[in-house]
Amino acid sequence: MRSSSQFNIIGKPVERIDAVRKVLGDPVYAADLIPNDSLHIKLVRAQLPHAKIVNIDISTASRAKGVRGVLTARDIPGVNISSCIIPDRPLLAHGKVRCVGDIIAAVIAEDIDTAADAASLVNVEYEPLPVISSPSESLRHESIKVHENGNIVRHLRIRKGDVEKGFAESDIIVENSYATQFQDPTPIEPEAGFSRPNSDGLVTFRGSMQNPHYVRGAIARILGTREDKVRVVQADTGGTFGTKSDEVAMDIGGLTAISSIMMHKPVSLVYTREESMVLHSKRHPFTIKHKTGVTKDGLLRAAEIELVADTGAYASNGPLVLLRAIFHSTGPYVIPNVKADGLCVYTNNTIAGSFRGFGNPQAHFAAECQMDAVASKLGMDPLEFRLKNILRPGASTASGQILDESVGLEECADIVRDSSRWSDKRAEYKASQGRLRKGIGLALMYHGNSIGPEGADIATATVTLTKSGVVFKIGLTEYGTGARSGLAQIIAEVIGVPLELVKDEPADTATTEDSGGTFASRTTVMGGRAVMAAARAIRDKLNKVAAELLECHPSDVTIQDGIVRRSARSRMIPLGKLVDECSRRGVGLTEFARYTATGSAFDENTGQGTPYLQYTFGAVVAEVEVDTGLGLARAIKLTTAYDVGRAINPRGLEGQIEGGAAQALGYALMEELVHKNCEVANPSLSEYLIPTSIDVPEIESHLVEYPGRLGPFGAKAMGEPPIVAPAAAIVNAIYHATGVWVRELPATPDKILLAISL
Amino acid sequence: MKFEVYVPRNERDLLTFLSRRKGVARIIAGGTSIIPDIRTRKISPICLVDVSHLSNMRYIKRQKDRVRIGALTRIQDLKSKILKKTGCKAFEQVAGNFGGTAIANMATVGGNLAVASSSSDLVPVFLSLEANVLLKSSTGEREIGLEDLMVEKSKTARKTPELIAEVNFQLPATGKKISLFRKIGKRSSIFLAFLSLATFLWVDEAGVIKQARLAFNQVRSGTPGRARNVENALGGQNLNEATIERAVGRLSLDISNPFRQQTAAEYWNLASRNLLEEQLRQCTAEMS
Amino acid sequence: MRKLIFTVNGKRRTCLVRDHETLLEVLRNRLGLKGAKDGCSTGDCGACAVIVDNRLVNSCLMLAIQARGSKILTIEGIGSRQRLHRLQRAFIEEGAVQCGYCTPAMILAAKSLLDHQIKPSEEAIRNEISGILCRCTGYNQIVRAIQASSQRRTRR
Repeated sequence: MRSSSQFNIIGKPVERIDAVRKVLGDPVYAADLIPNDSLHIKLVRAQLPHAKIVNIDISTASRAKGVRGVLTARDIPGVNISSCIIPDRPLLAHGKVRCVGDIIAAVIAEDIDTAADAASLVNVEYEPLPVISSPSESLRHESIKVHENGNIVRHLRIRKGDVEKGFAESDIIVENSYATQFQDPTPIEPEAGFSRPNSDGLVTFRGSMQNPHYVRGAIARILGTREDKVRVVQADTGGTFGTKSDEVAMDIGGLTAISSIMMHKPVSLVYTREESMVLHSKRHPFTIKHKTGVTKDGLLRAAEIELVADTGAYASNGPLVLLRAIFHSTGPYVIPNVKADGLCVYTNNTIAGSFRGFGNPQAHFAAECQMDAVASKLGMDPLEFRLKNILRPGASTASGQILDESVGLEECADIVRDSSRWSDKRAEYKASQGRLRKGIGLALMYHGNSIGPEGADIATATVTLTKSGVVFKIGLTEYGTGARSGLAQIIAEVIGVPLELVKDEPADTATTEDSGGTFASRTTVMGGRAVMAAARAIRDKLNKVAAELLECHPSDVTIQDGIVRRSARSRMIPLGKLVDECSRRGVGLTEFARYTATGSAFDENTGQGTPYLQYTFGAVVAEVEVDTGLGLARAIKLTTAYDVGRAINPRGLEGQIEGGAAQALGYALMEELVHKNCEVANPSLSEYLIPTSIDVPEIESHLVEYPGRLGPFGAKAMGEPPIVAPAAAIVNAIYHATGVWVRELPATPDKILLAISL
Repeated sequence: MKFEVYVPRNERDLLTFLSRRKGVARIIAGGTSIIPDIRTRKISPICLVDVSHLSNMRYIKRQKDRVRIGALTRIQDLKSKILKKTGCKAFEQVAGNFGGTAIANMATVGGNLAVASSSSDLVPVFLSLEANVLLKSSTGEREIGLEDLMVEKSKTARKTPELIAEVNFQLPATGKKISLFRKIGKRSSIFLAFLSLATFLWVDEAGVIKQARLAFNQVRSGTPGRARNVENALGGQNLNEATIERAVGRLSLDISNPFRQQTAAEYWNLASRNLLEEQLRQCTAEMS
Repeated sequence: MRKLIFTVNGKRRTCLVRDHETLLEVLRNRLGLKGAKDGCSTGDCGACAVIVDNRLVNSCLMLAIQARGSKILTIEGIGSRQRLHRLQRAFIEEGAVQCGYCTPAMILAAKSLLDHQIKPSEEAIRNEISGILCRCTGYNQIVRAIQASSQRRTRR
């Protein structure tokens, strides 16, 4: 592999291709684009978390002035389903409600205030049912069924070696239990969208979302029509972090599509912050039990792990979240004997689904706190202990996958140790006295790239070169990460045009092929391979024509910055001229490419196999200061190193690393969406606190490049990985500062102070 | 959100309107708490009175030893020079962590007092300054102690057509004055106080505390108030470790834990003591 | 309906508004200025921040009629595609833009700060933008952009 310096555009901290319209405040988000003549929807939500619906009376609401209609389940022309993996969730509730995020009715009115007033006039008669408020209740009270077929959505297993033998070989056995909370993704843009009926029987939905092609499928099913009758266009999307990949976009698309067809007018639905926080999917709360066996010289021999995830009233992406959690549940270590069981269960809480990290932050929080607990029992430095056990090239993971390439974990660990002055600060902070105590802790991580064995990992792209530059179309969306700008860099590098000449088109089902979902951090890796292949095909054609003009072999043609030549001293041809020449010769410069990643599979009974095609690795050191009188913990510095395979845009990566760290800091210290008897107790940004500019400390990031085989130029996934390790590093640092463990996230002042005072 | 807004021509007009639309009209100044309350349907007033333009109610002035702050003074204005000169750091501490620049630019002193909840940062500060509140109505005006105004959770002794027009307090002419404030929550900035404490100490040249006044955001569920037993333990003493320890020991006499939920209650117990201890230590630092 | 006269981005504007309409609603729905965003409607996220009479305010908490006679500056009045404001330039260069939803408010907050202080400290910058939530960047790139912009100005 070439080092980054040999590339023209790859590896350079370039400007994003969508930045200008965003700094100008252009009207590009869904709520900005709602037509003036649009009608507006207000939803009627379930008032009870579990109840039979006896009657829904919409008569008063329907008659209210300005109201155009009220939709209930019976008005759905097609299939009443809006769900992700299992068709267990109706778009509009019928028969019963299973959580307070269930939608009973949609009131359509001329303005939003009228719709809201009328929504309060919809009268629902319930017969309350007993409520399941936690996974333990769900497993204990099997007679109370959230869904007919039982409360367990999925049970997954890993069986590697013989744990009994492993524990027998161990000198020390450490057992602990960890718990994590509902974390709200809190995109700053609440969910929004609108549908417009077209004269030709089509309906067009434009909204804030991750996966327009999936939303098209959902809307078509809901309308009972063919997919080609539905057009879905992604508007610029103001953050999502996973949640707009799940039910919300289908809900908004489905409800506005039905009503716009009924009313022959555009209809919009924009969530308030409260609706957003109640209705969209959140991070799954997990309880994770670890039993770890280790020899006295610090070699891990056995791990027995139990994971239970609360997916709320509907499966959403819970089964896949559990899959990712269990496959990462040991942390990035070699453990010869592993027994892990994971359960994903229903409760009457609101839905948990996709959220950056997808089960891995929970898995790593538990695993990495457990590693510190083991190190502490051994009396060893937490980093030295880890280094005895980490995944290195040739190692076998918990699923028995042999890592034969691109394993940069050790270098990441070395870098954060040196640049954070780990050893000095361990000693220095330990000696600190008084009320304010400092601590330093760390966590290592890995994160499987590709979506794993349960879906087709495909990506498609179309790239067109004209005299004006390059336009590319791809079904994978931009929602803030900058991944599409990375795709533009890849195209610019391969074809040899300046980056400014590469433009993208919105993800629009009418003009782009299905490219799979924009999730699992796969845009750069999978989408990158698709655009690379399309760009490569264009470049091959250019080379061939250029070779004739320059009288050389096609492989001797170089194109850089829009200049075509054979060698440094040869005649130059402007790229525009070459494009003209191609056109004259009938050589088309539009290329479509499809990339399919294959090879992931595992045994359902043992969890042995290849769940993911490659892994991103990383190490995070956190330094904290704890006010031991008030229990307040504050991060004062984070030092990170990630093996990114290949940095396409280092500045973009920095943004992902810092943003992910900030979100993880909130996860570690303050964020918790509280369900009280299955009601969301704090659905507002004054009660659900996310970090502000004052909470986020200096973050020093280092990039390590061990190119992988999967991604373009060796790039690995980096959208999700940054949120995986910091929470454990912070909690381990709090332990170092205070000598107390917080094993239930978030580590709020009350938990810290009460633990200290024990 | 649907309501009408009356825009009074002047203060006189405002008071007349309030008495005419008794109990119906609600005042909007900065809008930082009334608009969210209407949005979230906690209240649904049909008539608001906009006072934001009545600039004669926006002032901070010092008349001899009395400091007067008009009700429409913005939280951001509490960083003003006049208050800085009083040595009362508490004001800067409130303004510096109020809810971000935009909120501090909008929210008013009168609005923060009118909310009268445990999350009003200014209430403990003014309680510790033994402030008076000037209430005006079409029939006249009266001045009452802020402590008498705070009756219980989210309720004030203000009669409906009365307007909070001013808050004022006296500062001793001699000796050293220390006024501090701190609030505690999950985030290091911008949050509603879970726990907050304001301290005012008047210390003579010999370092003897001539007067101590301390107020918490809650002394019982939802109600802000003074910690008089603590104050008595400090009065007449030199501020040293022994005094601090004695004062902290008295705290339980002043506060009945505002929380029923066990973790919150236990945390409150520990944190309120430690916050008190910390703030008194800080006073020692301020004195030297 | 009430007649509202005010100055928006240097232009005198007159429009009919309802009493209960917020400044944010009037900017977005009546004047078509969509740069100020609605992220919560309750003053907690700051995405709606604009500058009114040289003060940063949350336009979701201000009634439009309270802005009568005022001078409003929104992101649309800061720079243009042909002539980006130096803050806009710095935000792009420092990677301070990800999803972009908080960006207009962040730029206006920064402008309001730099209008009052020539070279603010990092702490002052962090305080100034602390009422505006960003979920993508972790803020540090935004802080760096504001620092870069202020340094650029002082160099001139």
